[in-house]
Amino acid sequence: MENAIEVRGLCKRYPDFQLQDVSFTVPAGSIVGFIGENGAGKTTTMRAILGTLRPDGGAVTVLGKPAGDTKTLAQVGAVFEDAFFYEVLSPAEVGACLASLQPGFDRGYYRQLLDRFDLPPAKKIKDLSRGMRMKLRLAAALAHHPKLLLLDEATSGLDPVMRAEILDLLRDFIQDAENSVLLSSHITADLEKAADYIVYIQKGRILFEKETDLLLEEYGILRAGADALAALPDDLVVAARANAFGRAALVRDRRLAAALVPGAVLDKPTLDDIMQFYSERSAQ
Amino acid sequence: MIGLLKKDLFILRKVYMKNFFLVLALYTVLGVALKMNSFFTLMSWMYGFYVVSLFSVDNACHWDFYAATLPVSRKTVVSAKFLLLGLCIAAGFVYSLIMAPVAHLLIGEPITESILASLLVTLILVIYFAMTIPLTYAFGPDKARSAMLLLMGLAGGGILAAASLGGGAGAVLMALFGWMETSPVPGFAIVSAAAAAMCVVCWLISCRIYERKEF
Repeated sequence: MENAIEVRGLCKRYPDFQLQDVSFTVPAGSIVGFIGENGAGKTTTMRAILGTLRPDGGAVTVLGKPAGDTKTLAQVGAVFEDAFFYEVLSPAEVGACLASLQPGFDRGYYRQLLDRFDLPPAKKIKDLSRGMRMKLRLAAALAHHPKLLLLDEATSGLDPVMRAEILDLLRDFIQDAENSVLLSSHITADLEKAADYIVYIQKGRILFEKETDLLLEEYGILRAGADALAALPDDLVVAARANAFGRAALVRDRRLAAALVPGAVLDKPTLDDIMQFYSERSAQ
Repeated sequence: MIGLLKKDLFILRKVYMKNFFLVLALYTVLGVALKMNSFFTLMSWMYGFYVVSLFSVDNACHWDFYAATLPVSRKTVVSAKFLLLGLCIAAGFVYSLIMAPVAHLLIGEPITESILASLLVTLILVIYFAMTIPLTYAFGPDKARSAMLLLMGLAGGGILAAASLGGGAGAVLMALFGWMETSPVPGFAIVSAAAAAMCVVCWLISCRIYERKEF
């Protein structure tokens, strides 16, 4: 299978928000970072991928089957920040329930994950820290050896050490070329480290879908005078802004910009920089 | 299905265990002290409410969305709630069966009458709670509770109004109750069939509502 997820022309209308013609893919054996501001449509898109909401248009296939197919869901692990077992249950009880709900649930592996994440099996979820709760959700999502992981803000609330451990775990997970991850996160530094591709959604539309390395290699932040920036072709500049040291612009092609404005300072952007410039462009 | 039942039973154990024993002791003591058989038949009512309250618990942790990410059909999710409701009401009925000889010894209530009274209450509760489930899926636990109270009020008011009419409607009602006493077998068969039919209808409606839901 070439793509674990294919989203084509997905539309979903709400009174105050709509997903518009959302299209992207999650190639098998890859980690795809899904970024966007709050309310951009990340969670709605992920819900459509899981088949928990009905799109108004477009098509979503997951592991080759239409979204929401019950058998396919047995090969998917999902972690969402606010949806899980009630907090009076313990990790052991969660495991006991999932063992009857997930056909491929591996009790031994679940116990290993609880050990690895230092999760006490008998402690109630409500008595766990926010980070520990997230780790429990991850353990629950991984214990049936899924082929696809959908993680919505799964690294939020975790300390840097734990986040790094989870990113390692995700990298291990995709060592099997059939496994894939769609990871939405506001901690873009994590995505720079782990994601093979970045999909950027803004106000319900996909702005771009690019390989992470290419994105960070091609884009650049050009610092120069206003005249030099004004002379650049419009399609090269994403957005420009003034700061205490002059003007800065996010450019789509760092090398081309360097050739057009010789001597200007050109920095490699981070995903945060890219999001901020795109956000400013949208606000303009 | 088993996983869904386990999850609800774990929650019931964790949340209602103390309340369960307290109510059990209280109702038993009150039933014995006041010599009122009705306290022994009301446990089904309590157990039914435990199940209904689970909908609020599910809402609090967005369980329906999480369940939709698992390889479990929506029909199974709905069926599990109906099954749990049936089990809990049945447990209440079993308690009233156990207490029937006690009521006989203490109050002198004939055992058969105690059992028939419990059975009638249980069947009415089955109808009541079965109706609560589709309303809960459609409007949420709080509005469903209010809607059921309103329906109960309307039904009770209707019966009282009919009884107060005298002659026609009142006489029909009294004749109906009298017939239930004198001919319990066909009477209970009809009520049981009505409860079973109501369960099937409510289950079908609940499945339909739940299938259409988005999470």
